[in-house]
Amino acid sequence: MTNSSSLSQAKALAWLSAGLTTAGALFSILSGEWLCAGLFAGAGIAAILTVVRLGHCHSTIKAIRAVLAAAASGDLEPRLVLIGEGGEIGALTDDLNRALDLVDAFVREATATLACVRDGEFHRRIVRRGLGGTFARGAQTMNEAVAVIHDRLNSFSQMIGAFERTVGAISGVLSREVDVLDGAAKAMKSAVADTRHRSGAITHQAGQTSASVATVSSASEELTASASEIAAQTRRALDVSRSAQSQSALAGEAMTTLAASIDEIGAMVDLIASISGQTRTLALNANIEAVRAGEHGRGFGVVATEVKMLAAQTAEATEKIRTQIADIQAKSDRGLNSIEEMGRTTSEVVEIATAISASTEQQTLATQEIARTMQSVTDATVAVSSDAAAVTDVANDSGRTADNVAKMSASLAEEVGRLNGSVADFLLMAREVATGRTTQAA
Amino acid sequence: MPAILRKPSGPIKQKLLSRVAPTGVERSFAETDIIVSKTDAKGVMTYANRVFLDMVGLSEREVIGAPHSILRHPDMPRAVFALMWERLNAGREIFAYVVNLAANGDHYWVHAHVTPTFGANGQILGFHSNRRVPDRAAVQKIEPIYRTLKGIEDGDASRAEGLARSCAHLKSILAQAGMTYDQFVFSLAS
Repeated sequence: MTNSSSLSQAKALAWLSAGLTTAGALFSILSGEWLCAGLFAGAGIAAILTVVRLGHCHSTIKAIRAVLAAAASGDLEPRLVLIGEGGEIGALTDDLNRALDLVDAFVREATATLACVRDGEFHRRIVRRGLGGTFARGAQTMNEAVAVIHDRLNSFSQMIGAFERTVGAISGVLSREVDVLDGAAKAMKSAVADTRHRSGAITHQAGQTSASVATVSSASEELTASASEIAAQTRRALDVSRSAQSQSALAGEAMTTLAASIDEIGAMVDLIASISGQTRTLALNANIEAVRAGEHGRGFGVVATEVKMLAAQTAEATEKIRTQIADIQAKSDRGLNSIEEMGRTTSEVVEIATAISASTEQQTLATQEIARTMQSVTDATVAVSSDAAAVTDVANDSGRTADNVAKMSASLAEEVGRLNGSVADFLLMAREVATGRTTQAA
Repeated sequence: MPAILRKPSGPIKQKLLSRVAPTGVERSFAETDIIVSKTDAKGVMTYANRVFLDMVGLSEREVIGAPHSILRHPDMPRAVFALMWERLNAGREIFAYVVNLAANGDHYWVHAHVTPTFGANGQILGFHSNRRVPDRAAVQKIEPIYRTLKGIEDGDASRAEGLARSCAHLKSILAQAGMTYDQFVFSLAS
């Protein structure tokens, strides 16, 4: 009895009751107790009907079991339909159906809503109306979760957009910069080639200038030497001329003194002439006296005649001296003139020599200036050559740098391309994540 | 499959309900209730909950085995049901505001959510409908649209032609709103 349900026990008891009433009915018939027999028969029929109703109840419970078992195994479809029960059992089946309906509704709503989320659609919400208690709270939570996911995906999408714009802008700038860099590298290479060419030309020209300067330098040195020679010769000429000048001055003075002496000699001659004249007069007077004095006077007369002869000779000699003196005076005048002429000439020579000396001095200065200038030109040329070499070195460095820059810009362009590719891949994946849809690969 | 203890006594004749003239009286049910019904893949009723039976005013015996369309109110445009079946046969759920007819000619608006029921290997075994008390504002918005669609359908001598034009009009309304049907239906309640 303990293993059977109250329904089975009730059924067994109903059968027992039916048996007993049947037995009672038979006993009553045999005893001729018809009334009793009728009552027993009625009780027996009631007992059999009880068994039938209990069987129906049993079927209902089996149906409930089947529906619950299906629900427990995850099949929410079965319901209790056309049970034909009222009262408590009818209410039980209605309640059971209602519970299943709510669970079913909740599962369908939740599944559909989350399927929409899975497929990237966010307008769908669990309709909460009609759901109560735990269902309502669960639905509320899920709806909030959907809203949050939607918001986050929107934010994510916005972030992706912002990221794309930012990276796109950076990449664009980078690409443009790479182009600029590449252009700059090319311009630099061309400039380097030009610089190299030009610095080569400068070096060549500096070499030529150097040679020319060397020629000019040696010429100017020769010029300096010859100017020095000229200066020395001029100085000597000047010295000689000055010496000649002073000599001629001395000669002039001597000639003047000589003229004065001659004049004095002339004066002396005049005096002698005068004395001889007076002597001849005295001799005449003596002669006369001698004549008068006769014989006594004859010797005296002879002496007086002798004195008269001497005076005549003196006068004659004096005349000759006068002639000689005039000749000497004429000659000394000519000498003096020549000396004066020579003095003037010598002065001119001195003047010319002085001028030559001054010119030579200037020439020397100019030549020295040229030499100095040539030295600075040489220095400058050396500096230019050295600078040109340095420029060539720098140009070569720049050329290598330009090559490096070109290589860098090429590899940068490659990197930018790779970055763009990666960003595009990333954005594609991120968008797939954000929308929940797989984009068809192109 | 619904557990059926007894064979139903047979579907009531559809014409009996379709003959009922609408009374214009609106019925309502509690916001906490859901009207639930299930059909097989052909649209034959296999289950109706207590709220359903109370609203329609029919017994379970009368409803089970009857086509679901017995509830159809003459004001409902066919385009909505065409769209519904198109979606359901594609295995998709659908929401719709529907006015239903009770056995006595009264009517009641519902916010219906119809979903296919799938078998273990994905085939459609039947359909399930949950109907809730609709948002009043949504009903007020949808009523004139349904009237227009119904007018288009009734205005054409050819039923098929009228339905096609009505469907096209519904699509143009959605296109104008820039929404999918689902977005549109959900937007009505807010």
